Amino acid sequence: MDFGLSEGQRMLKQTARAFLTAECPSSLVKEMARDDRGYTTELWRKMAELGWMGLVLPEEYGGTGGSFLDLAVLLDEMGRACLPGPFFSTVVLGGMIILELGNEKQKQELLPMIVKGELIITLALTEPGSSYGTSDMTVKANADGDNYVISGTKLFVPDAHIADYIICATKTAEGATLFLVDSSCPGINYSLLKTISGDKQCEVVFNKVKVPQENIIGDLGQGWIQLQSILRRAAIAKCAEMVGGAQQVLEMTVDYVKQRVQFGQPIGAFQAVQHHCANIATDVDTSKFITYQAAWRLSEGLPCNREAAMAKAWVSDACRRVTLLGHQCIGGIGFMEDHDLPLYSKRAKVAEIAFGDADFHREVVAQELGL
Amino acid sequence: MEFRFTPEEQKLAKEAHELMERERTPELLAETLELGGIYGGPEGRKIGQKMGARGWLCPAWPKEYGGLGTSETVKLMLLDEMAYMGLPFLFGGASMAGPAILRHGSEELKEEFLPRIAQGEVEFALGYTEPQAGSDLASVEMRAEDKGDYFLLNGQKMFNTHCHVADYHYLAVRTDPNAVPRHRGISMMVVGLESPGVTIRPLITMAGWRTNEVFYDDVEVPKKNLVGELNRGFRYVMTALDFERMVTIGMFRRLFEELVEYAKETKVDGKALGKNPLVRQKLAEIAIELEAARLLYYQLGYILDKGEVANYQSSMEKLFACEVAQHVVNAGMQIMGFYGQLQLDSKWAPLQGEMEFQYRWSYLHTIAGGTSEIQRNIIALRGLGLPLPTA
Amino acid sequence: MDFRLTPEQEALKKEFSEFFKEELKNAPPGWTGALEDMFSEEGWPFHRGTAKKLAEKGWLVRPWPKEYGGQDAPIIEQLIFSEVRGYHGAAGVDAWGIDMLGPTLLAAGNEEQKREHLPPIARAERFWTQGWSEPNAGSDLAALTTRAVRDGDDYIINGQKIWTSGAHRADWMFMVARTNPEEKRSRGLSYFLLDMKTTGIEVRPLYGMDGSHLFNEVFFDDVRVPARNRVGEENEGWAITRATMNFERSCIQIMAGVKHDLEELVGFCKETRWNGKTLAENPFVRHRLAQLAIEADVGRAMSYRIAWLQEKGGLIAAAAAASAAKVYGTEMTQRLACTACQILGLYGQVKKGSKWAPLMGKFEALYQFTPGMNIGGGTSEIQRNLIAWVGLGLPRTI
Repeated sequence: MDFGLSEGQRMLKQTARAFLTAECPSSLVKEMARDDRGYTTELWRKMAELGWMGLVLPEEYGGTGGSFLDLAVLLDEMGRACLPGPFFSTVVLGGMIILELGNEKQKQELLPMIVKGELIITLALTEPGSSYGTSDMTVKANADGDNYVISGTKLFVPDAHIADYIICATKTAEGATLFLVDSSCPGINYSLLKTISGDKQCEVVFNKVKVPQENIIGDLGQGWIQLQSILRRAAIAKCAEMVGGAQQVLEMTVDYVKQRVQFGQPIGAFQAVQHHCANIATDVDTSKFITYQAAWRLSEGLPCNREAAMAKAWVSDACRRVTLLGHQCIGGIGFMEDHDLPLYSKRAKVAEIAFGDADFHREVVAQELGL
Repeated sequence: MEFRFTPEEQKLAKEAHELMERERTPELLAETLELGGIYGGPEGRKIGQKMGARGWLCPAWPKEYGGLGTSETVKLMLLDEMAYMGLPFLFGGASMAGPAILRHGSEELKEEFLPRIAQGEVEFALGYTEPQAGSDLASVEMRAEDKGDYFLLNGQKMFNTHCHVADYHYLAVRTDPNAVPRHRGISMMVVGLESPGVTIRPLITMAGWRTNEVFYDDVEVPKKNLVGELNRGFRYVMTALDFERMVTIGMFRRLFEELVEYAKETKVDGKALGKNPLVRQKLAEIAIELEAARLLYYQLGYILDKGEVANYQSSMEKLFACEVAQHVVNAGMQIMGFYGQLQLDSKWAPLQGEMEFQYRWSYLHTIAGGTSEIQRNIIALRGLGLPLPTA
Repeated sequence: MDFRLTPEQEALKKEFSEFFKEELKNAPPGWTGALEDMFSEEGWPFHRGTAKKLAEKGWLVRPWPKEYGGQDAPIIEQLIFSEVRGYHGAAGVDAWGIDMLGPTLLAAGNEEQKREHLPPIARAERFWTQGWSEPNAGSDLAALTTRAVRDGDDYIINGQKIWTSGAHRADWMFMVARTNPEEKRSRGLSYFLLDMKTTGIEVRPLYGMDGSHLFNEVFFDDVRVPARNRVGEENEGWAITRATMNFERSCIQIMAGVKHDLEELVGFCKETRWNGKTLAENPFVRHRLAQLAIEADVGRAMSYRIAWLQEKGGLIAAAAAASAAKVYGTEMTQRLACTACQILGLYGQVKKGSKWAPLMGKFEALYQFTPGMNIGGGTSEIQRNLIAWVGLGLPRTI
């Protein structure tokens, strides 16, 4: 067994860390939480120049042809930096869906643009009354000649307000179907939700939005199966981000308790504090391994339904524990708005529930156990 | 990254599994539980020697000492399989004293003991704990006086579990009563448990199996039985402890699988237990913890095979694994106990009463081999570099 | 043993409840009873207005002696009052003046101080804040360095306090400063009462991670305090500070607040349908809500026991129990917030003000506030130390 990264992955990690340390300080993260768009074109452009958008896209579309595991390494560093912006949406929810399910025309048209940083794409899946567990969607796409007409409300759609395209999960007569919707189509209304971490999630209302049938992604009526794969991938990818954030919280906490002096010594010398730190470290290490195992299996094309569910269930709870213990150790100062820790604890909360929370994924594991 | 075993490892695992499958008699299984998982009982030795003959007890040791020169991962893999199959899995020799002798013993000592350990012919008991020296091992007081060509030992050991089935004692003794700090006065010695002056008295645990008090009255130990250097023994104990802490919870993996089967088959109010949402969640939660524990376990092999020291990782693995073991048992009691109607002659025959037995045993897991508090201290001090308290 | 309230106590409870329910109809929109609501622009006048009404009814300081505005009422009645107020999330009580300083002056103040400061508290004319923590003296409060130097009939104070709740609103502050610089720890401290309008006091806001303004830094630049405002003897301030910490430690408001929020959450779960079923039909939701209900009841029993211990044996008898209630109450509140967010799923992350925020975003806010609760007022670690040292007689290492 090998728990280590390849040479290429180590280099990617180092480069990403150096770049993000310089280009994505916590001041930017805080600024983008207040900003409506949530990212700067400057940083976006630089990331595209580094080849990050094309990391897992094949060379024939301008990408680098890297593996999902490579992407996990990158997402880990992005999570460590709390990188704001539509990278996750565009690459994991956009590019990878088009790569897996799109026809050649769609791939030729969209993937090169994603690589160049010229497109922002997202996925509209969840709705007011339903989350990840049901194919019973209320957003309908009704056939109308060569087009489909989409109506209904999607909720918690990341980056919809800045996306060029939205991959919308709808219910057609044949079952669930994914459509590629041009975001500038008439009839779409966006409102940005105010959420705990200031990440950009939207309510998206589709009012008789006309979409040509050639914009179907994958097969008509096959959306439910397609969504399983999409969700699995998104869940693992989100875990990779969470792992990076958790690692940073550990380091922040350890640094603090080593230098904060009370009762004549660093509080890191007290057993209660040491045990909190040990508990954080244990959650961080287990999260790392369980995530990377899932990411590796996906990369290798091995079945990973069980491992993906295990990872998301574990990491969801572990990261919450890590951030709350971090707060307990860092005390009053970590409670302040201008401290960096709240960036992580708020983001961990959002990530905990994205793409299925722990309960949801434990049920998947229960099924895998044959119960 | 690679999370599968190599084809060679898989082949070896398969062969070992087949041997274990053939040789695991009901008497062996009963003896393992009765002894609390330790090696040294008559049934255990039978299979231990068969495995030892194939080099499977200490596979990572050099061939000259009875090993196969494999990776440490193979050792972890085989040990896990033994625990899973209900064989003894706590080896004082193969897992603890042996690695210490390999690393620190004289050539003479290595030749005398290592091959016999690897072949399963002799077993060691750990001799660290004393009434006043538990977590604080540096407080060891058992006295070893230098008498020229032998040491004279006097003192008492506590909770030395293997002694009643083992051949040798891997003993921590004080050779310098004036050492400052105290731990610099400790030496490690190998002592035959049949030596005149050694008295072993049973202590029965709440789980029903036996540990021991051991009294040394003027016991003579030849000088050649000193492991490594005089007064450097504490360091060797720490090495052995790091290895001891690579605990397998294979036994609990199997117990969990049986619990899952139980949940699938057992109906309550017309519905299988496994269909109860709370039961499903609890079992899924434990399945996930077992997986996380498995990854922490095999990470140790990866670290050792790289030639590095797992300074905090073995503590983390021991801490996590033992707490998961408790979760398995608590969930088992809860799930079975929800309905409170498990009869002693339930169709879940292989575990008839085992869950209850395991429950009584479970209190020890977070205490023996380094309490969970000590493990957390080690993670904090060695792993995270946190400071020691000043007086 | 008797766990019932007497008919008189029940009647009182009902009277309190009706008052608060009526009063809350005038609350500003979005009022949840959280501390930051009380100190907000809209909340502060409402808070003071309710306080005035409570003062007129004579309800603010009922256990105090009559001569200072109280009614010599038993502790249990104050507990009931606090429980009802905490349950409704009502305004009107300056906890710092009423529950902390008042009892301190009654125990350790001289007659002049009692006459000067207690009646204005009883009349809701004067609101207080507490000046204890400093940047380098949090859990280790005795390490504080703000200086008070004797100058004729006054002291001159220089230094800085932090985490001063509501200092931006308060009229007066009770604080502790170092009068003997030779002593580095608790032996050189004195207790003072300060008018916040005194020249040289500057209040700067601190914003919590939920965006709220509750805490402040307070800077003292040659602030002149008359010596008659020193409570107790010079350099004897630590014992009085410790006594202040021990007054009103039942934490009944925390327990009652949890009970109230839980009831709201249960109501929400009964009404809300997701994925085709009501939340209340989901076995995990049921299980978790039941667990919290049990914990809330346990918490309430802990608080009542503290009041009973205080009646019987005074504050020292209740000290360890008070620490236990504090750590239990705040950690339970955090479990409530986590559980609520878990139940609310994707909606748990939506902020107050959004039409999609369930229960007015209360739990999204509470999730961000509860880490502070486990730290302020004595961290959970310190409380556990106190339980061990004071309650169980285990040896101290620090």
